[in-house]
Amino acid sequence: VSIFQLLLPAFVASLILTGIHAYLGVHVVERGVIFVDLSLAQIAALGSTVAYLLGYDLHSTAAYLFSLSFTFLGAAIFAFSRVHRKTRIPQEAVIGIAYAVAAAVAILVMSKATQETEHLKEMLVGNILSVTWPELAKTAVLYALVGIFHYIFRERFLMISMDEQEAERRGLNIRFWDFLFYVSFGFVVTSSVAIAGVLLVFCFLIVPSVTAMLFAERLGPRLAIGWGMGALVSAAGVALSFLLDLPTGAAIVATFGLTLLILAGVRKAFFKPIAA
Amino acid sequence: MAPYAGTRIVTFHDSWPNFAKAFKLSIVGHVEPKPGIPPSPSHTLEIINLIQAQKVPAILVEPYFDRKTPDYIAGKTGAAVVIFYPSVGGTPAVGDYFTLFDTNINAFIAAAKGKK
Repeated sequence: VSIFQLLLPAFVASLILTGIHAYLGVHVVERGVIFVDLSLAQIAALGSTVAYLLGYDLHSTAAYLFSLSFTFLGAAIFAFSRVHRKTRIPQEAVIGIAYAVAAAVAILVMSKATQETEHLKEMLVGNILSVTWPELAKTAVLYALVGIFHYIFRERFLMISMDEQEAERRGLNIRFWDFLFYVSFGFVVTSSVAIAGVLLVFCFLIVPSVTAMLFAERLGPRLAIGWGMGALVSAAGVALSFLLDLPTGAAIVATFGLTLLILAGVRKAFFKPIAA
Repeated sequence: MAPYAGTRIVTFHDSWPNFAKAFKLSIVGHVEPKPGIPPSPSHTLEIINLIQAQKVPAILVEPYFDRKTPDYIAGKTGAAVVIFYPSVGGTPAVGDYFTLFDTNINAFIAAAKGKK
């Protein structure tokens, strides 16, 4: 086994994750629901924990279906709690509450488990190095399907994310489309977190999207910048983790942070100030 | 266990030194040398090459660790991931201290035999 064979799947995984997350990140940042992926990941983890308590293996299909149904439940909660325009309760409050309660209930469930359990922590950490080709192929197909779904209904999803009032004026069923958004989002996040862990998935989602907003306003350029940045930073992070003998996931996350910092500096030094 | 004296093994953490000493097994490496920190690419590569070069038949992993990384290394090398229970009650079948050792030893022998 050569180092190249070892690192290539991790790098390809980063590219696949960048592909879908840099796009979903645009929605997430526009909607101001930054921590929705952590919350949904925690709810999905709660689902697998319940499956584990009922005697299913954590990596079984049954456990996956459990975590998926819990994710759908979370999607429903986020779609129907969209009340912030009228009541001043921010959506992030609901997301935070869902996160804390899901994490606490998972501890309660674990306290009733008969076997030794440290899985809960592990599930949310992930190790992008240990991803396998069959796993990547499955993930790529799943994300392509979600991507096609979003492409078909792009006008609705984008309008709700970027101009909610206009969507309302046109009589879109916002809750219904929100539910579909969070369901598809939950699908993606559940698989991504299993591969890469929450920290890395959060970065793929938010950092490219935020970076792109420093330099562009229109959707097309923003996506191009996000994808380009995600791919380059992933490659740099994977290479650094090998050269400096560091854990790969954390190395990519830190590289994302550093790159954003540098680009923000470049933005300030060489470009016109952002118009308010 | 006598026939297996001198067998080289890899463990998840540095957690079986006394077991290895008692049965004359030699621990040649750990999947995750720093508990809780995912292993770096070079370390993982080193373990994979070590297992192949020294014909290590088994990777011992406690039941509460995630199997992803050990399974991955096993897939690359042909070594078997063997679940080793550190204490009584780890699985309903392990009811006392003697069954604990029987369970672990049997699991190890099954893996070591398969590779001979």
